[in-house]
Amino acid sequence: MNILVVDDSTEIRLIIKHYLTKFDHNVDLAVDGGEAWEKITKNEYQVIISDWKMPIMNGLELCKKVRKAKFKNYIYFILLTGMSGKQNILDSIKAGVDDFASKPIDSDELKIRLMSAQRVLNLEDILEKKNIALAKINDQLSTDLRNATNTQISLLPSNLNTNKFNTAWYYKPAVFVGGDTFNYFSPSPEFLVFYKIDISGHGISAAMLSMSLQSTLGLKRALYGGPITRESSYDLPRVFAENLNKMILENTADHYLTMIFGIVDIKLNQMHYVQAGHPHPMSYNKEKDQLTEIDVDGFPIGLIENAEYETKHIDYSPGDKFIVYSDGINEVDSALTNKKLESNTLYEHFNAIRDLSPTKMIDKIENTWLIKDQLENLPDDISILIFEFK
Amino acid sequence: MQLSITENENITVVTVNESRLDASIAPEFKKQMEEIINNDKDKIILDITEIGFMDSSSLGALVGVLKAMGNNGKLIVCGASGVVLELFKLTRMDRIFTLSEDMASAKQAFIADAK
Repeated sequence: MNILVVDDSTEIRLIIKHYLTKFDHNVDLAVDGGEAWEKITKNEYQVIISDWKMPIMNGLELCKKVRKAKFKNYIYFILLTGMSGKQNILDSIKAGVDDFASKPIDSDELKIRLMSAQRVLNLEDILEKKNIALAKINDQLSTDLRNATNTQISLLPSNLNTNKFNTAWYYKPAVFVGGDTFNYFSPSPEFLVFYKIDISGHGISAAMLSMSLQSTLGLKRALYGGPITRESSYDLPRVFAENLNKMILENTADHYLTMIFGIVDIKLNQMHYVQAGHPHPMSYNKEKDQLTEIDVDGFPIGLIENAEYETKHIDYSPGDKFIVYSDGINEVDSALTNKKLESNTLYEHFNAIRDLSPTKMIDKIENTWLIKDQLENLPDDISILIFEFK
Repeated sequence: MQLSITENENITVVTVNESRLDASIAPEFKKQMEEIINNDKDKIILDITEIGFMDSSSLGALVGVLKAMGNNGKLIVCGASGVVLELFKLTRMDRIFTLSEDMASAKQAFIADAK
């Protein structure tokens, strides 16, 4: 080991150097704390053996300075002392001293104390290497997950702005990737199909199922029970939910999901939807300027064998809106009221912005309801999807 | 994950001493409940009065417990209120589970069954 010996007595410096050289260590000498500090900043030492009482800078002050400097390798500090007494020992340990050696110097004692130093330094070294390896893996995983989030968000549909609909959405996953997802598409010019899904749990395995469903549900025609016609669309949501329930129970052991699935009949200004355990949707009636929480319930998908579902129907007029959201929002506090965004509080928040366009509603939600610090540490995914009919 | 178990007149009362039942403890909860069921306990009252919040993972775990019980016994969930009760209703789990408002009515339900 590289060892620095600090003592104002020439005799003691030379005795210690003699022993240490005999034990095969490299030794530097300093006459006081000042000279020692100069050498410490220039060279790399594993151990410092220092006298307590010295001019310029004493042993304790030197030790405090070494600890404060936070060198990249740990320096084991042995204090030479003729002093005893509990307070002296406590002060030294508080200053960061690792061990003590008594004067006069004994060769055997010094050898054993250095063995103990070597043991501690080895542990420090192993820990340091493990920490570096862990930090590297952590960086890789974080980068990977961030990329996965971007992929996930890129697969979500763009806002619609057609002569029939406006849509806007907000999405923020809990742990980088989320179990929430949604999609909408037109299977023909007369219909718009949409679904909003929350996979139970979150994290990677929920996200994988979520992404697979997000991209395949629209394509799995078997789930729709046949071609989409005006006649079939009327009860399509129930059929879809029951078929998906069977599929999830057959294929997925660990997850279930809550969902709102709907089909909009553009010609008839009607929406048919099924509620499968997802939070109550809200509908806005433009003519009455009224927001209503729709008190509708249903079994989640993939939890209960042969669960029965029912299709609900809404007639809409231009300017009406339909809001669906997952339960993740219920777990965060509002920046406006400091209350959890659940039940009546959540309704009141939506009610206050009910007459805004979907894009402006999302803007208000993002910039006035949600607290940035909370979003960095979400317990569950937050997703909100707003339709406005024209 | 804190469960306390007491037994009285063949009825096992399992009290969940947690304010939240969520993804972080749902698997352990399910495991401990399954152990209780595997010990041939067939009349179980699950007291969730203390739980102020449940997430979807824990609802899944609860259904898992109910499925583990199967036809070999009866499970009564007691003390669901507030947002927890709302969650049961929203997901229609109030139709799957036997819910009791409090311990007295839960016990009464078992006694009525026995007669």
